[in-house]
Amino acid sequence: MDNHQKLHAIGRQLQQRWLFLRRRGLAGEIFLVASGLAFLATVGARVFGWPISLFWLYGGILGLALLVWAGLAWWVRVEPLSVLIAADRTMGLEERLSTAYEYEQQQPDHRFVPGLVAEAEQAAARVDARLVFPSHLPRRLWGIPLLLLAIIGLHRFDMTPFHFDDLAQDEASKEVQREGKRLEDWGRKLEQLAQQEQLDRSLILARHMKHLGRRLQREGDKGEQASERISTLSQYLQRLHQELRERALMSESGAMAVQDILASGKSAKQELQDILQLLRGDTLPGEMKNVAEQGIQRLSRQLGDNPELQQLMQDLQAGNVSAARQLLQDLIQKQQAAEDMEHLERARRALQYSARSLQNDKPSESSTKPQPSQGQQPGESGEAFDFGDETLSEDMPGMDDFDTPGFGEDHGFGRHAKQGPKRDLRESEQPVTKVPVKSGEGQMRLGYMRHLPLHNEAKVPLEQAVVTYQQAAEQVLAQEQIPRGYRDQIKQYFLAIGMAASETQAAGQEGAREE
Amino acid sequence: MDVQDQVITFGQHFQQVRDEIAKVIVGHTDVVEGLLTCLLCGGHALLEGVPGLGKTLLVKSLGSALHLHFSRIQFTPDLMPADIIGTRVVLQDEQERRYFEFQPGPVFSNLVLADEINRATPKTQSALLEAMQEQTVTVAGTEHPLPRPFFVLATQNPLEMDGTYPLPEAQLDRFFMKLNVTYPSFDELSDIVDRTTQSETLSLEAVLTEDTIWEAQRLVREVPIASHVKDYAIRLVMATHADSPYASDRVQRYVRYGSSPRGVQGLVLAGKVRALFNRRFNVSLDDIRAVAVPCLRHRLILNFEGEAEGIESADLITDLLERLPEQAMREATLTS
Repeated sequence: MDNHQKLHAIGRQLQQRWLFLRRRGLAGEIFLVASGLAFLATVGARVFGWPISLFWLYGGILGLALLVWAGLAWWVRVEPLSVLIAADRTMGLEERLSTAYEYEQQQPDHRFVPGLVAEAEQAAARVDARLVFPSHLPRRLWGIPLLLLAIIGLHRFDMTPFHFDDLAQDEASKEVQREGKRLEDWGRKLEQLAQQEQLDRSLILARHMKHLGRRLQREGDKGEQASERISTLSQYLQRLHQELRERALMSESGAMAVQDILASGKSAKQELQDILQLLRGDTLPGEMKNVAEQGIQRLSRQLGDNPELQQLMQDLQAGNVSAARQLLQDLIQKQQAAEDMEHLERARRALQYSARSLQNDKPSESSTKPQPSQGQQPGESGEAFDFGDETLSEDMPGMDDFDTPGFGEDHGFGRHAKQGPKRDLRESEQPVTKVPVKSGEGQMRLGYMRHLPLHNEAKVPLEQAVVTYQQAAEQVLAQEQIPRGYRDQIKQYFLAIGMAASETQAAGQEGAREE
Repeated sequence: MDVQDQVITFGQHFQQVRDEIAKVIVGHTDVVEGLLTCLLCGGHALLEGVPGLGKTLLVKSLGSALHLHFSRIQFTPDLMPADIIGTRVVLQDEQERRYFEFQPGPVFSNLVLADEINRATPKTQSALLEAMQEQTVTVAGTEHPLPRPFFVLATQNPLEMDGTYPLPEAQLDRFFMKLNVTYPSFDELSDIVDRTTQSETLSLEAVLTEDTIWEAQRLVREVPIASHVKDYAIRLVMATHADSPYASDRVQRYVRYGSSPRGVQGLVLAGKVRALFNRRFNVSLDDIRAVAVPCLRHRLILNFEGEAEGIESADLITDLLERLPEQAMREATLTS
């Protein structure tokens, strides 16, 4: 019985040793995984700016790891027979311990058991649990201190915010970054306004401005030229933003006017002329009166609150057809005068631009560029910006759309006509600034048109040309049974199948006979 | 008698047998040990070796040392089954009445030497089948039990293939072990020359009786074997089958049929004998490994590819012993 107890004792000793090592190994593995998770979370928090509280993060990971380890440590079990087999194997005991334990447990009355257990007792004296289950640290657990050091390193160095595509950020000057950021912000605001107003071209422009701002932030310091250019673009964007905001204030009436124009397909001038046609007679029937009133209402929505249109509506409602007709004729003439003025203005600008281009050829004048004063709004300063700048038209597709009548101009019935002297200094009157930049990715519009040749282009009538070419083709076909390009291939084919050879031999034989 | 005393006596007795045989047979200790193992397990042995290596002398020496009835049958192509198992002959009594009486053949002996067994026809070879497995002989419907212990020691020559009839697989499987008698070393040859060229003839002393052998056979079967050791033997035998999950790549490629269940029985019993030889009370994994080749090599049937490439089944078993894990997956993960 004493021997049995000793055998069991060595079994328990081995069991405890194995469980200790196994649980320790599990703790190491779980702590390694937890360290990895903590490292990843730290990277996310410190580098990418994830909104995670590090106290709760590390606490949560540690708590979870402890919970998992406790569960696994409780679940891990080992039978005494298994550790005794391992001891037999490691110590070279020729299965004495395991056989004795098994037979003592299962067949205690076996007549070999006493001798077996006695031998096992002698063998157990040589068993050292540390030799059976040596303690060794898996190499992968060395990753734990490395991960912890990495976490500490992440805390020591501030890396937020970090973007992998901003590797050249250190080289960029602060001024360029600031201006680029400013440009991006304005582009974003402009994009929102354009979306509200459903202005597609402005939306495209705004997005382009935004991307340009981002790109300039990444480009780094390219010298003063880039900085100046950014400044110009930024101020220009401010102006655009102001204009769009003003447009947004008249959102309802403006939108209705656009819708009316789109529905009727008429311009203001055409609408005025239609109403004038209705007012030819001295009296106005009821239906025609209604049509005229609807036309005036559409004009009012389209052009805004105009006192002349209000007067026209009052005259019409009062039945004063002659006064209304006279007023209409004045309005049409005014509209016509505005359009003529616009054409003249365009021509003047073109001439002025040509003259400045000639002046810019001189090197002394090309480097001068006025800088707007800091904090001064472009509209307030009276300085407009150069819409005809090559840099703008080159880098910003759609910029030409803003150089159209009615947008930032002083003509017609638009509400801008009331702004008066603010628009006296036009952008085209600004000295031209030439900033050498790298050409961006512009959009290219390609159009294809298929058309018949013009009457003067054709030298020969079609019928004659067809007949000539048809005759030539038939002549070629009549002369050659085998197309010239296929002659060699066909000859090689027949040589390959032997027919040409036999023909050659036959020809040779015939030649011999003739000789 | 106490078990420990029995085990000690067992070891002493068979050490005496080995010593007696060693008087005549030089070297071949593993072959002698294999023969004794077969004897104690109640199995039969097949000795294979080129002529002149002392196979017949070894068996004769064993018979002399064991004090058992010994008979020798020289197998030839014209040998008939009746020449082995016996036949009924017509006899005449005193009243001149004739009657049939069974005349036992040479197989009715404790120790039968079937010399050059592969020279006999398959019909004659198969006459030994019943005797080897059932230890009985049936003639004319009458079953005749063979004396106990019954032990067949067959020899065959692997070189001369002309006029020989290879043993069928069924009969091969009935041999407990196949022992290869190898060529002696220089020192052994020198010793052989000294012993056989002297005028003096050595005589052996019978050290074991029939009862002692019978008692030893019973003791062998009581030796404990742990379950994981038994599992190892089973996995080893299963690994000789090409479709087994334990089979190695070479087994899958070259083996047509693996060992029969007699292979496991042979492994465990031979392991028990080896444990007792080493005066242990239990079978170890080393015991199983030590007896694996002689117990299994004649039970593996190679396929055409294996035969064509000259693969030895013993090499396949050695390969399996190196590759097969000692412990099952459960214990293996324990120590990893």
